[in-house]
Amino acid sequence: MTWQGWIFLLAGWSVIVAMLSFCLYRTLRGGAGKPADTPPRDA
Amino acid sequence: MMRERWGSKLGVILAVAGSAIGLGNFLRFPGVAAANGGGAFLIPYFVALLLLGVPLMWVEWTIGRFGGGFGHSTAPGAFHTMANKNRFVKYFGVIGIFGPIVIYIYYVYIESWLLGYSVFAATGMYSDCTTKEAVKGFLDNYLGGEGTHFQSLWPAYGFFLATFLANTAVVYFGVRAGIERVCKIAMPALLILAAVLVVRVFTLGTPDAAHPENNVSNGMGFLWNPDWSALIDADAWQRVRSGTGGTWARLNDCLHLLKSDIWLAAAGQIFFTLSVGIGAILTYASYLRKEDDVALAGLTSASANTFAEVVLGGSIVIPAAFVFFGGAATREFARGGTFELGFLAMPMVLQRVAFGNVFGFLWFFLLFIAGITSSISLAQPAIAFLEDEFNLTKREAVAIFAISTFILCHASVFGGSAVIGELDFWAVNFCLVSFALLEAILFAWVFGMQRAWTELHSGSDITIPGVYRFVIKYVTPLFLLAILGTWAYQELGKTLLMEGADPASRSARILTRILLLMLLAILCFLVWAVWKRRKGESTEVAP
Repeated sequence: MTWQGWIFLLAGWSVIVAMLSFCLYRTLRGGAGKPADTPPRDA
Repeated sequence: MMRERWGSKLGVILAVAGSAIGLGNFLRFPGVAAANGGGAFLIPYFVALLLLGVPLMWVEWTIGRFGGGFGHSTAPGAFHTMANKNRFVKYFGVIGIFGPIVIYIYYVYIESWLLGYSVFAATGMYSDCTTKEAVKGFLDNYLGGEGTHFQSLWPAYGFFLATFLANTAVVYFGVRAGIERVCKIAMPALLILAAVLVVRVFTLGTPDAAHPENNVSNGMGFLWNPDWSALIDADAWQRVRSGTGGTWARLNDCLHLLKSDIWLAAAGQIFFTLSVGIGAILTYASYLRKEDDVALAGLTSASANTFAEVVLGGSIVIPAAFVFFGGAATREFARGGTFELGFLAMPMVLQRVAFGNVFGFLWFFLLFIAGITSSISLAQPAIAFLEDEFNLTKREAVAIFAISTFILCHASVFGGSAVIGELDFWAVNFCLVSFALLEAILFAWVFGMQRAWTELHSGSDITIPGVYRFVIKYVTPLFLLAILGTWAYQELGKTLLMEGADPASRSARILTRILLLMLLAILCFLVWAVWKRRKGESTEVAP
């Protein structure tokens, strides 16, 4: 693999992992104090 | 009747991610990326994700939750409510039920091949097929029922029945006890299976000492090394750099700097992979409450899908094929598309690794799980339509859907590739893009961007950057119009006239089109009948 290939691979993976990590963190922990795996607020 | 609801926030995200993560992630993406510039493909891919995929996710989630608040889980009702009960808009929403049914008709059958192949891999049934021709012969034998491995169509039909019943059972148990429960188990299982296969591929090393260049690193390079000529027109670039010609000529060169093919391929892949523009996400989102978040949930499901596609999907088929067959053969497989990579290349690869039976089973079962979490989402709009608009019970709605689609699926089972190709063309190329365009216009222009933005942020766990007001209102619809226009210009005429199609398949294709038109007419009639019955009644209750 060329150095350009490595850059694209690492950059692409980093962006995706960062995006998913942010979303999962906010979903599981940060979602307005709403736990992820419990019934929604007005249930 | 008590409206169904999701049991948890994670449950709905996994269900939508399950709907999105399918064969496209593991088979279509690597082939499309390798054929369109490798690493350079990621540039238009991410642009399409940000300007098309994510905005449409938000649009569809928001329309779904809004419609669900008025007791409508499908597009006709949701569109009708959003467009201030305009008498025509609900008929456009029919595409949101028609499209999923059409895809379901052939998708379940293809899904059954995956179940069958997972059994064949585990039992070593195709272990004597060592060449591409032999593996293709095995697949043809399985689907045709005549040959050395299979003497009838019953094995294929048996796996189809098992797959169809599994889908029906999941949707019969409903949103929370069926779809959500299955996705909560299936999605982590899918990620674990994919991770196991990625580790196995990364540890393949250099199996052929005579060809040390056929290694995993170069296999990843086959997918990721950027081919700039796929993205940029070299001649136009040279002219821009030299600065020759007048102002108009230079402007023209700048406009032609980027090749359109790669952008259309990227936009098509984003569409295909995220399941936007089908109507399934709209229906899933309708089971949310008004206070539930859609902004973060939409972004999370899009991110999970992209992870499964680029990180996992990009690390299995192409590098594995490269390690064993080299660049030229892998290029041939990639050109052959989804089926060649999945059903020809991978069986040949997995026969050459230790414990190939186990890994073969894992590969096909992974694809089967990815398929079933997608197909149940395709079934739900029609079932929800019958429940909501005709006040049928879940049992009645599922029974009507199952009987109807069981009959229709036989067109795919016995009609062969011509019928499947025809169904796929109209459902994916036409329905997806036109339905997404309708959603975007309705959301931003009919419902109104200010109301839409407020609705999108209602209960939101994140604040969406303000630039997306502009993107959703102008960029996404224009992007969609460009895709639809290019498709109509390049494909519609040729396909309508069946140019290049096998003459023997013409009658099957015409019958399929008649079947599709009849199905569309029946759905339009049902929508007309429902609203005619309701006319004069005040049946819609605000949430």
